[in-house]
Amino acid sequence: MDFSIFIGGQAGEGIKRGSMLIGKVFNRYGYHVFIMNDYGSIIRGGTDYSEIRVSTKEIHTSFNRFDYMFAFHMDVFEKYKDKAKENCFTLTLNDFPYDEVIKKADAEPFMKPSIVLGVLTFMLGIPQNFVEDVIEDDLGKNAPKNIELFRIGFEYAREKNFNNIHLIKGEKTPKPLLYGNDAIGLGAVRSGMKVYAAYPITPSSTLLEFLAKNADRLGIIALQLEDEIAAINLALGSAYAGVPSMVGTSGAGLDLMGETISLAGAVELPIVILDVQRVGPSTGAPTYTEQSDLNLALNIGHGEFPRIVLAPGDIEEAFELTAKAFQFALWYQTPVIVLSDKHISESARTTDIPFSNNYPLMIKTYDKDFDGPYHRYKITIDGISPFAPPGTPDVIVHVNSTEHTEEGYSSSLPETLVKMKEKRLLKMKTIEEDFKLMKFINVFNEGDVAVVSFGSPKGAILEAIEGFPIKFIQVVSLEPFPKEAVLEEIAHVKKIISVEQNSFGQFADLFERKIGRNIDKRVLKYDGRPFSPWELRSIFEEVLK
Amino acid sequence: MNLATDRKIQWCPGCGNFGIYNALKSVLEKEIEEGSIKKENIVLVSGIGCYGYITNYYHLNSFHTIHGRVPPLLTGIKLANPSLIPIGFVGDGDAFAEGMSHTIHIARRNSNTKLILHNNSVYGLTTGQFTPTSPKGFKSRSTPYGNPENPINPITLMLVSQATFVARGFSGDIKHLQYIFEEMMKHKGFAFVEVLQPCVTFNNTYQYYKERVYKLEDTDYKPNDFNVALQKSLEWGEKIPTGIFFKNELPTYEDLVLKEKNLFYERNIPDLKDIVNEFV
Ligand SMILES: Cc1ncc(C[n+]2csc(CCOP(=O)(O)OP(=O)(O)O)c2C)c(N)n1
Ligand code: SF4
Ligand SMILES: [Mg+2]
Repeated sequence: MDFSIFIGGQAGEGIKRGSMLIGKVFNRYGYHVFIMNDYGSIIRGGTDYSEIRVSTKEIHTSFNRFDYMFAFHMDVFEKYKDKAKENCFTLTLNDFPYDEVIKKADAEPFMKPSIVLGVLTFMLGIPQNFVEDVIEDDLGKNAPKNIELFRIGFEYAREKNFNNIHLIKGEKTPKPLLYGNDAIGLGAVRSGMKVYAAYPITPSSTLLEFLAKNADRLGIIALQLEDEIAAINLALGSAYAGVPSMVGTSGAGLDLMGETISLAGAVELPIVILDVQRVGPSTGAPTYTEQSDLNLALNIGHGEFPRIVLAPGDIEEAFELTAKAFQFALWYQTPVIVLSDKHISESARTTDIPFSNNYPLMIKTYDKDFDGPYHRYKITIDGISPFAPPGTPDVIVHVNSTEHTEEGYSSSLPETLVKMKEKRLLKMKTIEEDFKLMKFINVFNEGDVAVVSFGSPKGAILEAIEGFPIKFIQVVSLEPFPKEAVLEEIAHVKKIISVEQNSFGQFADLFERKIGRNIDKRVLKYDGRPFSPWELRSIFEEVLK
Repeated sequence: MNLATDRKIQWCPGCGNFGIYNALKSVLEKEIEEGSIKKENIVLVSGIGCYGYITNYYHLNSFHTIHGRVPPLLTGIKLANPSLIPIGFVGDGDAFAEGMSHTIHIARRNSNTKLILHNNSVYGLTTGQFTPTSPKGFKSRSTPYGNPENPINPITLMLVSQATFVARGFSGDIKHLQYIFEEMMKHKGFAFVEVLQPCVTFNNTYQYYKERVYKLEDTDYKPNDFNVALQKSLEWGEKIPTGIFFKNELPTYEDLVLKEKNLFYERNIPDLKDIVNEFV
């Protein structure tokens, strides 16, 4: 059993909130759920929709073909009706007077999805009281009105004698149904983040909102600043004072942070930077997904300094990699960029996240007896100097953006420049060697054709290769690039297909440069919509022929 | 106690930065000696400019950061560990060109930090271009025919930005500057001190200021009325007031944001069970 529900309407009609409610019902009813929100960058009007995909087996992405279509307006239906599967059930404004019902019930337009839930509950034969309990639980003071609307939908479906089946309760125990950004926030907190600073930008703002709302119970602060530059400089100030800190933004904001990322590299302070990619260049299409900041993440910041770039492929990895990003940032004392995208951050999925995992933050601390007098940039065998925050008795911490001596004093003598460049090179080497051991790739399936990719296409690829003799290699760390691990995996592979969501093939270029082997087929998508499993499947099928 | 480091000070002989450096040095040395502040809790933050090298010359924690971004760093440090005392140094280029917005925002947040403006009305380090505080008509390397812009008045700007301590000193009067820095150190909330700083090489204003500055303390001026302060801040010409223009105690940004949290000391990792259950 694997079906997708489409709810379409305008901004302000509760599409996103409603799809979460419906997703919760199926989650608690024992099914896997994936929710994808497709919305425009306007506050009212437009043609938004959410897909709620429900399945007995684990699902990794949205399907982009629908079994049920509910549309509160005709334009949204017209726009997407060709995505209806054969025998798709539809209930549009032509069939059902959504607005009149809302008006008559003295309800609000954003409650329309509850009518949909009523119709679905009847058609799928889910116990009515089961669903009402979920509404009660989820919507609090808005529950009574929504239950009223839910019942109207339910009765309407009964009267109309809509097809009905009996969807038995699934076997899966309910799991957290999380948006990617929530998972990122929880991952950060789980590894000890205490300061989050940001400037609103889609699709990262929901993380700021989530953390701000829960700041007190999480023991953190989440702040909105005057711009991204202030955000990252504030976070760097906190990092300098010894508190794990993070910023979150999207492409345009990352551009603005460039100078400070270079600063963090130069002064050797830990900072985690989240980039939730959206369609660029420039303002682009703010609410749609893309992976076109890869080159930016790999190169942002002038000068040369060590950095780490990690790309989660799904919501579980978003949690885990954000947590690990802090471990790396604090140990190596250098910026770590987490590359998410709209499809990961603003989609929700029933997840198996190891919330109780520990991600201890190891720090090379200063030991007076061993290290001697405190030198912030002391030369060591691995390029990592002992860390001490200001406030440590008998220690003076000089941090310096100008090239500096081991003590942290400004100096542009040739020997100082060489010494510090080589210190940072050594640190980079250390990171590379450590990462070799950690093998930052995930490998799925076997075959003599390999698909290579990074980030959010993971979900669609996993579903597309099912039953095919295709090996999927997901690159998780883009910098350092897991060259040895990839080489080992492709040794016996005959053909390599790359999959990514941009028009330049940034990942394919990186792969070829690092691995020294050509990609045989580059699959690129740049329409802002995530890959669908069937879309990729037919491409792979073609290659296998 | 001597807070000087072994670094050779590299300002032009006679530069106004010496006065600022020495005045703050003696104030901090005295306070550390008297035990009113702990040496390890002082954190100096400077941006980029001639003045920016100042952090090399104090044997104190420091962060010599990039041009224009001193204010958010100060706030980040204070939020992370409220026992620290962040003191920022900014040039007129930092404060009102590259980092103008931060200067306004830190003031209106009343972040419990201190900001000392080295106002030489010129870009010293980049060798003599005009800045946002240069007078109209000012001939500089980049305005050979005269500055076409109207200058910013730092005191007025900080007052309307709701800074809770606003003062002006003159680097040619170290004793008076010490008094202002002492008051600055006592203030809880955002403290802004403009120092009129002659740049002997590109904008030598010693004589000009010497002839004009007077001290507000020598008059019956009281720094407790915002409207009076605003009016006073506009005085500039034959007579230039120095001293404390305005002082007021209000809740700080850190108090409001942290709500008793101590991010530095409370390192426990929250159990996510409850919050995660809400997502089921
Ligand atoms: C982003 C950036 N832009 C430009 C510069 C070049 N720069 C260095 S110092 C400076 C001006 C400094 O003037 P001010 O802040 O008034 O300090 P002063 O040298 O007068 O003490 C500039 C523009 C820089 N370091 N960073
Ligand atoms: S150029 Fe001016 S500001 Fe810079 S050190 Fe010389 S006198 Fe001082
Ligand atoms: Mg200047």
